[in-house]
Amino acid sequence: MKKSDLRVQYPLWNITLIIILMIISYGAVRCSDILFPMIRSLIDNDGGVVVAKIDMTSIFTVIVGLVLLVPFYSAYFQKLSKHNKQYPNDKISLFSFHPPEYIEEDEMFRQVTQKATKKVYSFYTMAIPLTIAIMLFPLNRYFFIVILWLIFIIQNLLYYKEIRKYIVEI
Amino acid sequence: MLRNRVKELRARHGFSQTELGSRTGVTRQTIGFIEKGEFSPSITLSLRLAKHLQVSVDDLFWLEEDEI
Repeated sequence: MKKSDLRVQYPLWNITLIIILMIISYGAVRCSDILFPMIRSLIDNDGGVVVAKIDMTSIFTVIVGLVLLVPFYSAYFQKLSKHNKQYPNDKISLFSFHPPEYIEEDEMFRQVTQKATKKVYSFYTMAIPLTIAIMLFPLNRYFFIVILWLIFIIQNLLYYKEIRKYIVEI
Repeated sequence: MLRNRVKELRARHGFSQTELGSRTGVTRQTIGFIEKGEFSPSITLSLRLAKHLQVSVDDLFWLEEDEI
């Protein structure tokens, strides 16, 4: 097993996707803040002329995020097909509930996966109550979304850091 | 701490870590971590290693305190 193995690198792919989704969700939150309270807020009456009220920042961030998804997914699918060709017995399926980053190659890696999962579990037992406490404050919704994305990033970093210790290359 | 002679006996038999790993059904990394004493193998794997290195499990693994 190498450091470049997709199963080892999977948390890094997750982190990249989360960063792109953070950008998209910023625009999506701003859009929905305008859209949901009142549909009329989408249009302005400018001296008798009805004009569409467009929030450029939200539209721009959604577009940037969607554009970033294109190179991300093209690189991901390339890596995935290369991995599946290289390891026909350890294929990664897009439609599996089993996280591909679980490495169960042999008894040591099963133990390492358990250790990494335990670290993530310990992190969640602390992070979830803390997030609930922060949610008591009347802050912008995007702030809470960012906290949840950050928790997801830290989870992947913890997992990757633990697994990587055992991937020693010659 | 669990000590072992895996590295010494593997070299004596002329096996690489990858070769011994494939013979015993584990990865090269696992053999490396066993040799460094950073991973304690299961009884099943210890028996397989002992078989391929042609020694008894007792000759292959021992606890450090036994040395005293």
